[in-house]
Amino acid sequence: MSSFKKAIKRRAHQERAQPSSRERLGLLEKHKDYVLRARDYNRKKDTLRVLREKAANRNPDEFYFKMERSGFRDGVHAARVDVEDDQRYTPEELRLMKMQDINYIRMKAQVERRKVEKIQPSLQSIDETKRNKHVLFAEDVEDLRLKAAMVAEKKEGGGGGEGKEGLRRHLNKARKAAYRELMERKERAQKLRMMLQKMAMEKELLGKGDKRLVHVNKGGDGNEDDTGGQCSVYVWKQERKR
Amino acid sequence: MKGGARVVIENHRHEGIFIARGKEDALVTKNMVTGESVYGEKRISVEGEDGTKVEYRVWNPFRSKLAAAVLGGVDNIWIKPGSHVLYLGAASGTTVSHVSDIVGPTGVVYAVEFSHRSGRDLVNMAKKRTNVIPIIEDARHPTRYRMLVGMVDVIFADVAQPDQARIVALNAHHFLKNGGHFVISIKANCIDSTVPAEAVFAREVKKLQQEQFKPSEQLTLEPYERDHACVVGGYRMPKKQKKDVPS
Repeated sequence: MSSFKKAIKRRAHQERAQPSSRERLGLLEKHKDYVLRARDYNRKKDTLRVLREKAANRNPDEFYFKMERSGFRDGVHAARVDVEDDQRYTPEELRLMKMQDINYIRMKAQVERRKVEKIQPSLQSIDETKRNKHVLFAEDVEDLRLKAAMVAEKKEGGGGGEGKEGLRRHLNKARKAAYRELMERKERAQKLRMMLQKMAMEKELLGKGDKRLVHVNKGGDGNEDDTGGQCSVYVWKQERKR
Repeated sequence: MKGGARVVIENHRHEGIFIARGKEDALVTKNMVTGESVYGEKRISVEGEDGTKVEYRVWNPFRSKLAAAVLGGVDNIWIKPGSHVLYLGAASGTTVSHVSDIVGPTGVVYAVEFSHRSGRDLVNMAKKRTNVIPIIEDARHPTRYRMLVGMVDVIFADVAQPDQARIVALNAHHFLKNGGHFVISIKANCIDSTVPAEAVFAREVKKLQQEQFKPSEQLTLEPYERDHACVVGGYRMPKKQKKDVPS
């Protein structure tokens, strides 16, 4: 009898991989993952070995002039320890770099704007409540009542859209995603626009001319993480131009 | 759900207008010239029950005041399949193309535009649509094109001129049938920018009433246009008969 049971084909249960939703928990205890772990371990071991060898074989007389300027700052190797970070570039260089940043942000803002322009027309929020003002002209109260009732009972969609329930659900989901995308893109475009303004202001501040701060807008001074407020306001001294 | 229908077309309350529900959520009209966009608008192809392909064009309310009015919930636009429409202020013919879609092959759209520059686009559009008759003339002088235009059921006007009411009235006296209808888009800034928009609309409505027009409704075009209103009504409407009240 037992041999008969063995003859029946059993389902072969295979080892499963870590599901993608649990990827953060790392590798599993199974051979396939063990291989990955071992490979990683050995690679690190080899790297350490090579570095140790290099250190052991170092030539103590080796010298480059750059070594005079470089060294460690806060435990991290720095190419130049003799100059503070903010003095490393001349104002002109900084201006040029800022300009490049601005151009990049401008390009990105434009991309977002174009995308919004492209998807906006086909997302018209048809079922949303109207925000406009609708006036009905009537001859007398009776007429008005009739008209108002007529308008109220009419809905936009007259039906006729045949389709299975599953299809409907699928389409609703796709539409919701499209609306979300539109909203996100609009927000992003707005943020990029604000950022662009701030960066342009910063660039101007690096330029020539006497200027004076007249109004401070808190948090609006070009911090990358903050894009809510507006720029601070500066006034440039008028300069006579020939 | 791959490869299946990606959009469902519903009928709109107004005849000749449809709603596309899918990734889109938009007003659409049935394209008369399949395979061609007029102003770069999106086209949606749908397979009918009998297996034939039907093409629809998305109608952008940000570019068309008529679409904005329809989305705003106007009670009746009077433009439907088979209508004869006089369209004043046709511009490049973006909205005209949709009106031509709505009225279909049995209807006619007389599109009047003064500017030659945008008139060129209009004419090019009309070359492909047999129900559009482009007229490059000043709408202030309907006598100049009276030989081209027959009696019409509806006048649509989007001329943005201070004397818009007079222009519409002139054309109505020439071409609009008794009991016909008008749809006018009013841009408050173009008529008088010194008074509030509401006052401008009220004044225009009054002017229209003096010209045998009988406005039936007025709606603002938020959020698509600012300080715009769409006024709809009848022309030389027959007197209403008093209903006999059974006592």
